[in-house]
Amino acid sequence: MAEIGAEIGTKARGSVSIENLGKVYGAVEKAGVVALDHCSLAIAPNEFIALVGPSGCGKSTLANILAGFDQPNTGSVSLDGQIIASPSVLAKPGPDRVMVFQHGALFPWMTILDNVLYGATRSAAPHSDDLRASALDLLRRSGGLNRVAARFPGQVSSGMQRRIEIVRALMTDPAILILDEPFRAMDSIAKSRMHNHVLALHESVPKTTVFITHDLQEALLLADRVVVMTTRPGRIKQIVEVDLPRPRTTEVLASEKFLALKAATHQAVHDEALKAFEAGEKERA
Amino acid sequence: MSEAITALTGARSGAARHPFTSRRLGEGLQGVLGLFGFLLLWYLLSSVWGLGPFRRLPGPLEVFGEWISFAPVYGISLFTADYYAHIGASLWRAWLAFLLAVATGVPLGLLMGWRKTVQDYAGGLIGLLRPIPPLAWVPLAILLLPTNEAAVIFVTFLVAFFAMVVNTIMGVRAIDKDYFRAARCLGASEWEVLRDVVLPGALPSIFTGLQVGMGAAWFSLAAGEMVAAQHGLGFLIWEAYNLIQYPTIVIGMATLGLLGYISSALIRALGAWLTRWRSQAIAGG
Repeated sequence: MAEIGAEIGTKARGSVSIENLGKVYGAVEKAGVVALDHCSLAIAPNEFIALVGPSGCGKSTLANILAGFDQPNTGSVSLDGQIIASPSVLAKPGPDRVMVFQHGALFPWMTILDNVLYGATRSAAPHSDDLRASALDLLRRSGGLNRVAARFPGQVSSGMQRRIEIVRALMTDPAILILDEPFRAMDSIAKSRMHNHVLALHESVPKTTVFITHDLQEALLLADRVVVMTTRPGRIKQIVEVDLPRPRTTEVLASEKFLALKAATHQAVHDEALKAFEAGEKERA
Repeated sequence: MSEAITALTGARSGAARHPFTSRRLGEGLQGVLGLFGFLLLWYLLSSVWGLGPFRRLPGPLEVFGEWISFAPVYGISLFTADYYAHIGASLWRAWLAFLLAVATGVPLGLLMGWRKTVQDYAGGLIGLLRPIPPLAWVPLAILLLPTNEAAVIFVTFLVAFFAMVVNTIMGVRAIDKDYFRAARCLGASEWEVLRDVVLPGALPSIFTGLQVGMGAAWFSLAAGEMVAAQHGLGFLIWEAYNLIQYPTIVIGMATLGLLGYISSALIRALGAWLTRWRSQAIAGG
């Protein structure tokens, strides 16, 4: 029900510690592609982190390691004191770290309500009626989506699909929410609406969030800290504190403070994008 | 990947309902006109002009007259018990073989598409056996199996089986990998991934396989019945050939056509209902 936000918010979990993380694709001795190199970062509970960088900078690799889809070659990631990724821990995804995918991964063959309940019903859960009610409530708060709960994902717009996918992720009450460029394919108006939605949701259902994007403005708008990454080898180049007050909306984009912040960070991201371009990195759609 | 998404989420462009409906109506009408054109040509060639080989072919009126006769000249019409005995024998064999093929071909296809190991073991074998024409199996099947009945059903089963395996594999392979990752993220076990992602995701292609399999089943059933059966429409046609009973040959052929058409229509209807998430395209938010 409505308490779901408060309930989740009070749990001080979702503290992530990334230490010296490295990932090489292909054989190391044959000079494989160094996707991640010596990445260290501490993320506080309920903090919103944006990873920014051009394609091939390793931000997706980092997200995949966090989600348990990929195994690092060096270093470790711990979540609330527990090591969840290291060369010796078998990578395993789980509902404590849920990813929202770039191209969307709502199951088209399930109704929207079944999608949203999919993760929630298999983790230790209260009565399914309560779950349904909280799912419908969260859908309602995501722009009246409870009204389309009986439909199939293919019957609603892509913006709705994204919001539903976020609801599905939140329903499992994850410690970390990983958003992998979820708004990349959207037009600017839809994107801006999604930004306001994510900002409002982060207020009502705070979560440790890792948001992957190549768009600096989007990163600064949404995040508490923006982590700028370098092109191969993927390293952390700069960490920008975004001290814009919350609750935020897209109105902040016009503020002087935002523009100053953007100007100060722009060069770092631009340099990397240029490097990536010169290195012939292809944009992965 | 985006191709797969479009294939799975269905005809997003199918939003334009009206043209679609009217086009279908038009197609229905054109289909009827085509059929009448064919009957007219048959009538002219056989009954009016008597051209070349068509001189011996009974015209449509003659065949239809025999078909609905209470006292058919050659002993087979809508009002003879023998006719239904042949239909019953063929229907039973076709559907039994078809259902056996579904029960074995679909699970094998799912496993081969899903697990590389299964594909590695079975892929080559299937690839080698599949091109063997069904009729080539008949002698061996008759020698090995206890009854001719079993041999006919086996040959019918075999072609349907291959069609289903191949289409099911393709269906599983076309599933967007993000659906697998999303399911694992949400805590699904391997079994749940098979049930909730692999099976429903492959279902559209599985039903293509069922349709092809049903068509192939009737095809090789008729052939098998000609060689090895004492009942059934294939046998009826072959016997009528031996006795030079032209109208009965044509009645047998037309009945096979009708039964095949109805069988495929049933499967198509079931498939359309089970994969209705595909056709219910965007109808606005």
